[in-house]
Amino acid sequence: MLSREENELLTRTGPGTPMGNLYRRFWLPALLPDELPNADSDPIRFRILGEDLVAFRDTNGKVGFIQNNCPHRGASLFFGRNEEAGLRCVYHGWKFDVEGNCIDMPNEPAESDFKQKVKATAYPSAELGGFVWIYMGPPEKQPALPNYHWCTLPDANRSQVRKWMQESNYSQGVEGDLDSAHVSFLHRKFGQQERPINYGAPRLTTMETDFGFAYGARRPSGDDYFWRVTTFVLPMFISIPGAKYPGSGHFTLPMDDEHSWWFVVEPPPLDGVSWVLKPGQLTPGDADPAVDPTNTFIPGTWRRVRNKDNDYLIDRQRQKTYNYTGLPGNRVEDAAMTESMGPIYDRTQEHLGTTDVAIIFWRRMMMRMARNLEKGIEPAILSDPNLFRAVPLQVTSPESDFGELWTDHHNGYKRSLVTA
Amino acid sequence: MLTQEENELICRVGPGTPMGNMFREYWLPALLTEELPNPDSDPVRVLMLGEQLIAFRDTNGKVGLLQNNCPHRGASLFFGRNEESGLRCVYHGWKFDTAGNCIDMPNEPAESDFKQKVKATAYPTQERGGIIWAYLGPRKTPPPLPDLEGNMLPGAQAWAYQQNANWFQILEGHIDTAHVSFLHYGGIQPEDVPQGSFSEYQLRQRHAHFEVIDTEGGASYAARRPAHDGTVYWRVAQWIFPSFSMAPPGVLGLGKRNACEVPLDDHHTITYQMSVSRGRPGGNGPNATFNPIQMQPRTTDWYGRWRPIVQPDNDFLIDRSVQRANSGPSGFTGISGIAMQDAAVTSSMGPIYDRSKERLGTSDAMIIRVRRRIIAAIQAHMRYGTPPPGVDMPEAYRVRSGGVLLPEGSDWVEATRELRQAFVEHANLDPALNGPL
Repeated sequence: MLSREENELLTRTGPGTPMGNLYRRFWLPALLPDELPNADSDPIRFRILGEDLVAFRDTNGKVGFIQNNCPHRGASLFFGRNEEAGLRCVYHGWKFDVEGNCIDMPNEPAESDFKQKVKATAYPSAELGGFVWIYMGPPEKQPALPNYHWCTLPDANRSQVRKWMQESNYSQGVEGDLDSAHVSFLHRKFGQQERPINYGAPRLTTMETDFGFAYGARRPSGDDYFWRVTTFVLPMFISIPGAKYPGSGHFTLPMDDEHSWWFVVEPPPLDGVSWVLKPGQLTPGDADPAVDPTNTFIPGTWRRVRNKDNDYLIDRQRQKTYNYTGLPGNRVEDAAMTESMGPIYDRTQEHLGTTDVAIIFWRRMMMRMARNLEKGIEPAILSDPNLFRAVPLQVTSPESDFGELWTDHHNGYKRSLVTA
Repeated sequence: MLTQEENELICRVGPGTPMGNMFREYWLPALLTEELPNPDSDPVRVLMLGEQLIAFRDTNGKVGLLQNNCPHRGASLFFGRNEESGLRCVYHGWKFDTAGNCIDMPNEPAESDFKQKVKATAYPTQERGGIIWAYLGPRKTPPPLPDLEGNMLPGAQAWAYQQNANWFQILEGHIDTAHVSFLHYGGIQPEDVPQGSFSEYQLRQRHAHFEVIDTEGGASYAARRPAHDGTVYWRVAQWIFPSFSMAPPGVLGLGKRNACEVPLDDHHTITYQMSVSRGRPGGNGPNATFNPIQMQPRTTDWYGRWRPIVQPDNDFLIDRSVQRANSGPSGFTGISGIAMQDAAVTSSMGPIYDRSKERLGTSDAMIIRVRRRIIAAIQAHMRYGTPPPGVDMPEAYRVRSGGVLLPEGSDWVEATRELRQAFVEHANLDPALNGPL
């Protein structure tokens, strides 16, 4: 349970908010490269952390993130002309480069120096690991690009990337992925043989690390334990164990306080092995859109056909006979749960149990970092891009204690990086 | 006229508001029985007094009304599995019975007693006469259901329709008999109806003289118009706390019909109609003056229940040529059906009308009285916890409305005392006296 004040602290990320300031210290995934496919391709609207931006790829191929409202009188730069290394407002012809400099102001006298005095808010961009990234923080605090594990892999820029919009506060999405226990219920199909993952009351342990934190879910497996260790790499990259290739994971980041962006990455496969995601498929757990055409987007949007307005097209008959929910695919099921809490869930009303320890840990950590930043204490991870490196673990082991299991795994991973 | 403070006091019904608190002292209709047709049938979203609830009928047929957000982490119980005498959240398998007890918590260790410590908000329900009643109030032992003959007599039926307006605007329409001669019957002439019927008198003198009295559970009023041969036509109607009304069409002593306004939230209301004397909309009973209300396909969202096709977004399908011709039951308005004519005017005031701007006349005497009674009851309830009228007095709801002919100069209150009593049969009364309106 959180107090009302804590809930506000955790969920509000607009300009000037403590949590918003914290997220603005990090490079964040923003777009898929094919949203801006070519030099001088169409500008797109893009909202992140409550800010409305227009993104464009200029004549030189460089991506710009610029404020939506033209600094002159506020017309949207979305309608702008993307040409000759800049985005030109169609209202009076003011033109801005990717850094926000006003490079032409044709409605002023030629002798005017007004354009030197006008600057549009613009944020740095980068392309890495299959995503277009944005940095929205103070220029003097801009960190190096993060070395998430998958970003360091060969051909990382060919990674399969996906995104979609979720209609709830980002924190509800994050918490869903720090909650191993729901897998045993929400994602259950009937008539399958018993597997360790079906054990519904896992024992959860957390550990703070240099990259964020790890949490282990322990389930009985014969005389041993079935361990699933999830890594949370700051500010919000979650890798769930059991993926086909290590390095996959996803980000849930705020679009505004009541909507969030989900970004999924699957690194390129090893030689001779097929790609993880089928065309149009959002995550490996998802129904293939070729089989279930409802499992894709409403054209022109990042909103899925199955959404909260149609109860995700729940099939009550299948809910009785086929699976727990009557919904197809993990991501639809997750969205139904986290969106149905409401746009910003009032956490004064909740009742947390023993399987919620990772959620509690995450909240405490993020709130502490946001408060620390207000006092001038910067996130330590930003000092070294290699601190972003971590991979999750799934293993059956006689080891009952999380600490040693995790430390051995993580140290082993770090050593392998040095020798490689 | 009301001050803006008084207007807010009456109109706002969410949790913690003074009127919301008073509403919660009463049993109110929550759904029709047919909305939860079978044991273990699909859960239904129910918005009521600004609260999001999930209704379900368990394996034993018992109806539960639970908070929408699972007490664990807030996922909606709408997606829940209704099975084996309880509603189970699909997120982590927590299961609740109709009383809100957590009867299974499979994601916690078997030895945990956490489930004994968790309870979902659950409201008591009862079923009667096609209606699922709910009590959202504070008492451990709820009061009795109100004695409503339209909901209790053999053959009792119920139907419902939603309107886009604050509950009190709709109630005011139901206790305002003066509008009937215009809004509903403005296109009908006295020559068009049987001579010597109530319908004729109502059309021959469209205005009326109004008298209002307080009753045990609310207020009653009568509209006086000349009839024939030294008699007077009195049209009597009833309101009972908090939002029950008995409409006056028909012969006093025969009508067995009740209505209740239930706020979904401050801007949306469902009217529940309970009746044995009239068929359901679409039926052809002898007195079926109500046109059938055609409903939009039902949806599962909070506002998806009982939405008429005819509604504000399509201007109630007003036909201006019918309105110009001004002939027949749709003539005055160009809108078809009494209920939809009412809905058009009450919703057109806006979701919550600002009553500091209105100008009330003599025919609004009942509306003024009801407001004063409600404000007084809210204040007594708010300040001293006084139980509001009718809560502990189910017999206060045993009243009827209708028309009656009385000798010139007689006191309608004394003369109609027995005719206004519900659950009394009057074999000698002729329903045809009313006429078609």
